[in-house]
Amino acid sequence: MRRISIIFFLLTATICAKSQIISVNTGDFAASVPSLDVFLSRFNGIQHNPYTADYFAESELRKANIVLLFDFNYVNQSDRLKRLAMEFAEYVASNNINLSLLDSLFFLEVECPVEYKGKMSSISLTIQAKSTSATTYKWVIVDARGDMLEMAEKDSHSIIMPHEHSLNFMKMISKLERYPNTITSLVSDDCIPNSLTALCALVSNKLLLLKPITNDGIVFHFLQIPGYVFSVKRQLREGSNSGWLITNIERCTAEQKQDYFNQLKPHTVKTADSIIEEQYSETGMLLVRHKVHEYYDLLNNYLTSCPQKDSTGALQDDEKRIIAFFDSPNQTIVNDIPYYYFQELEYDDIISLSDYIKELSKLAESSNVNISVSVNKVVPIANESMSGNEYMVTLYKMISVDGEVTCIDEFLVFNTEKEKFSIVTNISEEK
Amino acid sequence: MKKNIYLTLVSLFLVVTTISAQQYELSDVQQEEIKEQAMRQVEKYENCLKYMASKRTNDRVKYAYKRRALGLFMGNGEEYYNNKTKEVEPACTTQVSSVRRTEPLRLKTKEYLERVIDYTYTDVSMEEAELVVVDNLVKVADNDSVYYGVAHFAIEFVGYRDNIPIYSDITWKDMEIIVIRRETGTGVLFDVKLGNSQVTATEKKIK
Repeated sequence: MRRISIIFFLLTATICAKSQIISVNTGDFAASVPSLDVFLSRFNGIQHNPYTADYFAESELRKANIVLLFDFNYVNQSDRLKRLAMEFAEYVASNNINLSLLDSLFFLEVECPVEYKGKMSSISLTIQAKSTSATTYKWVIVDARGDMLEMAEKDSHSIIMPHEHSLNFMKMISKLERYPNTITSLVSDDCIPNSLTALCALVSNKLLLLKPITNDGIVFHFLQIPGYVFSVKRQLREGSNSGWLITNIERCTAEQKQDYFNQLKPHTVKTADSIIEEQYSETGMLLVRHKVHEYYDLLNNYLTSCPQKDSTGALQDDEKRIIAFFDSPNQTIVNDIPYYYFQELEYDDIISLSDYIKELSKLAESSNVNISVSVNKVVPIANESMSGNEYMVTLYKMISVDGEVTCIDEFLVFNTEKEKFSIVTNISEEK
Repeated sequence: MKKNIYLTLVSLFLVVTTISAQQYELSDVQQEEIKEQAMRQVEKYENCLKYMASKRTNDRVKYAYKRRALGLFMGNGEEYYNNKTKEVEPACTTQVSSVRRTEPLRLKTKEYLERVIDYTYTDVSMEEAELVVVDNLVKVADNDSVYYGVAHFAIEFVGYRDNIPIYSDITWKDMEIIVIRRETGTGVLFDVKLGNSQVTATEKKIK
């Protein structure tokens, strides 16, 4: 750790010195991070900063690449930040954590200049990637914040009186003239207006005009790495330490992460499901998302390390950890990997957890496999027999085998007290 | 028996969807080939800019380069009819911003090129970008035959007055790449066109 710190700072100095003499057309641009694609490739160890190959051994290359994704101006502000950057790189590299645009805890925040009532102002949009098929995705606006988008909470005292129909709703009109905010209380209880519906109405009626976004107007927020949140912003300047760089990182607890999440996405679109989701988000939702990601990181780690079986058939550490995610080692699992990847198994086979792991290890030996997952929905299970700590988790799972991608919806039950998963389909009921 | 029929249908469905998805899926080799093609288009555009900006080029030649540059863009830099959406698409734009300007300025690419021709320096030099990074090409829907990507590159711009360099900046450019897949009698072809772009200048002091 100490050695890599020294090397890192020597490298920083070398690169900075080189920046003075290298023209933009040669090394600098190659080492900069011109796009989010390049950022993700370097973070995930697919691509390397061209400078790192000269200085680092293969084993330290990924760590060095992650460190070089930090904005040096930010990291050099204090020793604490330097240490944090190094520890973060170490943590990511040793746990082989990968980032994906489709991670459910990845957001983009856009500060968008707007013209409203003839005056310039700005609104903040939270945007997220949503997959549209196995190979395609789109960006969707998931939240909007701005003074002109704020709406009052529903108030049970503000109503349209039962006799008003005989008075041409005179009182309603005069009330709205004085207190326009009360409109939210006058609409049906089924309709919960929010900032997104306000945005749609204002923009589609040309009352709110969106203007070109400035270079520093986009920030990417990554919340999916356990124990950390960080953001990436474009730094336009000369030299190799430029482009899309980590300009903020914090170590945080699950609660702090939830607060960070709430700041980005305080007004979710309020459907019946999301209201339930919100009610329970403080207790369980974030924990579920963390655990799901930990589980899939572990699966991916296991798949990429091509586990070799020892002759005794004893469980390896990774296998023990996979089993530990489940309520009981004797659990059965719906075989969620498409049937044609397994020779002997059929599509809807139910197999034991240990057989599932055996099949995964077979798959890892023969193919280049990657599993990515996004949490579609988390809803509490309101069953009388249940303890109240259980959530139904709907996952959208993408399995890539040798570049061929298959998508599957998967259902799990998660217990927040035990912090364990169990499988939805019960074998005794099935057979 | 019922289960077997179900399995056969599921497998048939998976095979059909895999084949139909693969039809328009770009292989890694194709991705790389198209990226190369996109880089060449960008380099051609940069070359045109270089001649258009230079005061040593005469006006007739400058306008010839402007026509050539516009030919690299979707709709030759004009509005164009989109066969898929059946709508008229607006002309490609170039968004310009710099450390000096607080608000970015969006110009039609045609107008931006006019500005390049009209630079007020007595001479201008542009170093061509040797390195162009093209992001992975993506498409909007599975059965689409149009792919989108973004090319990123940086070039150095120096403005001279009376042979003395008085202004210099590094411009970062992000340029949309639109790739249209075409079936021809001899096989599949990919037309690579340039689209909207943004140019961001970071000022540099003259030493």
